[in-house]
Amino acid sequence: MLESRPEDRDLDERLDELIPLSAGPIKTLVASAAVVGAAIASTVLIMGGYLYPRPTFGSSFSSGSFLEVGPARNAVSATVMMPNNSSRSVRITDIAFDGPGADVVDVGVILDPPYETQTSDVGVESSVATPILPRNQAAMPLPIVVPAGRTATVVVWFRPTDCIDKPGPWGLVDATVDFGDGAFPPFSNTVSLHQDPVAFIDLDGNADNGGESMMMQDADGSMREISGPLAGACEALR
Amino acid sequence: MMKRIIDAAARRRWPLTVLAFITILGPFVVARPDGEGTNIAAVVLVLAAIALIFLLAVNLSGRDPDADARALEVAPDSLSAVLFARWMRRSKHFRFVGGLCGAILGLGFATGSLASPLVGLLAGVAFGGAAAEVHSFQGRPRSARSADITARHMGDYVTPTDTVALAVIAAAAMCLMVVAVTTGAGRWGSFWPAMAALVAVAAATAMQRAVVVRRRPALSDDLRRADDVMRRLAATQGFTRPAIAFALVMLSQGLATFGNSTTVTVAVLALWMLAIAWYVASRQSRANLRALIGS
Repeated sequence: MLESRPEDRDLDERLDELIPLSAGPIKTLVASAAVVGAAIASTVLIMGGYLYPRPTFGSSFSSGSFLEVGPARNAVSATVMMPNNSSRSVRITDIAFDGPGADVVDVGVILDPPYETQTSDVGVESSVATPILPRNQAAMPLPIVVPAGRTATVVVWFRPTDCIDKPGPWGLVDATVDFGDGAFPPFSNTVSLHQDPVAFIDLDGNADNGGESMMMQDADGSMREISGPLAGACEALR
Repeated sequence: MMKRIIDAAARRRWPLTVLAFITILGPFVVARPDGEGTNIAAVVLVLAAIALIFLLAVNLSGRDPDADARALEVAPDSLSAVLFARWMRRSKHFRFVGGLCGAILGLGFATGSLASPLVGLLAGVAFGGAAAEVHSFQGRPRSARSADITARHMGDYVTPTDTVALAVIAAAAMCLMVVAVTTGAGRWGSFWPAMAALVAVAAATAMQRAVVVRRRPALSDDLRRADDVMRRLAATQGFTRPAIAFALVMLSQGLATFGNSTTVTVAVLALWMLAIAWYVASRQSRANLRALIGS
């Protein structure tokens, strides 16, 4: 290693004032490893959703496959899934719905039941069926806590103000989430479910719901195909 | 033999670290559900993990076997070489630690692409390069005995290209922010990257000034000249150029929200290319060092 001439007593001191000599490999290693360790710990906390709510990180999810007419025929509901894949419970405090040509009447959240299995007498494991309730009965008002590992289904009731579906994505949802009152850290986050609109409308005004045609469930439980969410809603509420 | 292995690990720190990391991830990616080949994967995993720990230990200890040779090659005299070697070791080590931390933190924010770890790496390198200069702000009672009161100016230490780049990036970032605010919801995605670019420019400029005007004891002419060159290296290669690279990438992230048109795609690619060029210019290669020390 290059060092100053031994005959110059002040030189080392002068150099040290300009730029300090390295602390030595062991001290440097320990200090640097501590910094990198802190970065790793922070990353683990971030990825686990402990530092700020990020329930949908690293997950794929989908919209509900059909619209549903409310029992009083005053609104139509659409759904978007929001899985909580983080390691911490999050609370949904607000939902913003971007669906041109529709007025939002109400929003709610259905907390999907935890996955349960049962083992038969012969040792075969199967999932436990849970009853499916109509959306207006199952959906709960905001705010609602979504435990880690569970999936929330965001339900938006709307009334159409226009009956013509325009090309492009329709039914984009932003969910505002936090850790709850008094929780630490007190950060909130807006989770965009933008990659998952309720429907994509093609240039002919037809809905493409993930490669499938779009369906409408009427108040009596019957299903029928619709061309788009606005046209279908207008027809159903007429 | 061992010394040669350690020196090789220090010389090729980034490629070897990335290779070891990918090798560790490999068995998880190619693992077959039927469990076949699990033993081989486990052996590869353990060997790669040992290699990664060894690489990190060597490089986190601040080893830089070529610093003296590089300093001797570019320094005009032996005294300058001593000073340069110290700065090179310190700056390179801080940049590596900063870059590694940035890339790790970037992984936490990654959403399926490499952009986030790369952005983190650039930000970390810039931050580490700036942190390497922070020693000068620590109080040292001994330094009060004498002082050099020669007037120093930014223009003597900072290259015109970097100054123009910082100004252009600041102007572009402000334009993006104005567009984001005035056009509403659809463009908000460009606001925060533009803000990050502006903050990077402001921090780099403030740090440049801090390095240029920091105190200096009364020195011999030789040592003062060497210190001037060291300040020039710090204010350009140390943190300014990585900060410019980071700011350019943030501008590209902001522009990317304007859609997938050919113009936008070309602009985003051009900004990434420029960022890579500025990062390469910030490395302690002999050519880069000669260009700065000779100027």
